[in-house]
Amino acid sequence: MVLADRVTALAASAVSLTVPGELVQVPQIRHWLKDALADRRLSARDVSDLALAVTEICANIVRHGYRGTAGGDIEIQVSSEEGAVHVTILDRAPPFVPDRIEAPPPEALAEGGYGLALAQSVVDEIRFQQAPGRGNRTVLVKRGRRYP
Amino acid sequence: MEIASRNEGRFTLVRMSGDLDVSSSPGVIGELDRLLEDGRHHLVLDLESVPFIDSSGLSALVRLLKQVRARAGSLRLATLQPPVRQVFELTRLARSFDLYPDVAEALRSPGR
Repeated sequence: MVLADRVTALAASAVSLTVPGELVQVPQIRHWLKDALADRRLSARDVSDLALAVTEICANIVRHGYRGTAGGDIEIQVSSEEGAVHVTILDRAPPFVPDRIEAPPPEALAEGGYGLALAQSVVDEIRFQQAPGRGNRTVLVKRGRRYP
Repeated sequence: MEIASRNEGRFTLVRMSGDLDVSSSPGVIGELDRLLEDGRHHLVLDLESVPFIDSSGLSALVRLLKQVRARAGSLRLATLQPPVRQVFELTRLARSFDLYPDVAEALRSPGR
């Protein structure tokens, strides 16, 4: 495959979705994601893991980034790169980079605080970045033994 | 998310269907609060038809667990699907809940 063909093939495999930053959209994002992950050589477990991670990140954006106010969008991009699936989540909420990600101790029976730790635990990489002029960019990378 | 409940001896069996997530958990909390207000403090939740749970759904169940304990009641979770069980294990909350492989065992077990 020549380089131009490869670039075309990669571009063809990338898909995106933009929705209003509202909690009611989160299940729709998850269902769209599962379709977008079909035919990407992922196991059912991998798809489930990414669905969980994307759910947590998007819920976090709506609740803590946009704080329930209307007007902000969330864009989800899915692409396959070098044997891994990348899910990129873009938002225009105030800059967000967590200092550390740690779930509450189970004996505390905390009624929250698990989201980012769960997201981190089910992907191979999670990156919190600021996209110039585009707000926050969260990149989730999932790769596994099943890739060639 | 659909919820249906019926009495089974001293327990109330609650069958849940659908994703337990950030969108559905507020409604679920309301339904479960109503059961507690009706004096039904010993609950078995059948999660066979719950294919997905997120941290919001998990938090709703933690809240419920604390509520039943405060009322000297009990909460048993039955038939967790693999993605749901995984969330309990990743957060290490599996040790805090009474988890059962099926509803029949949840109903007949003497408990902890």
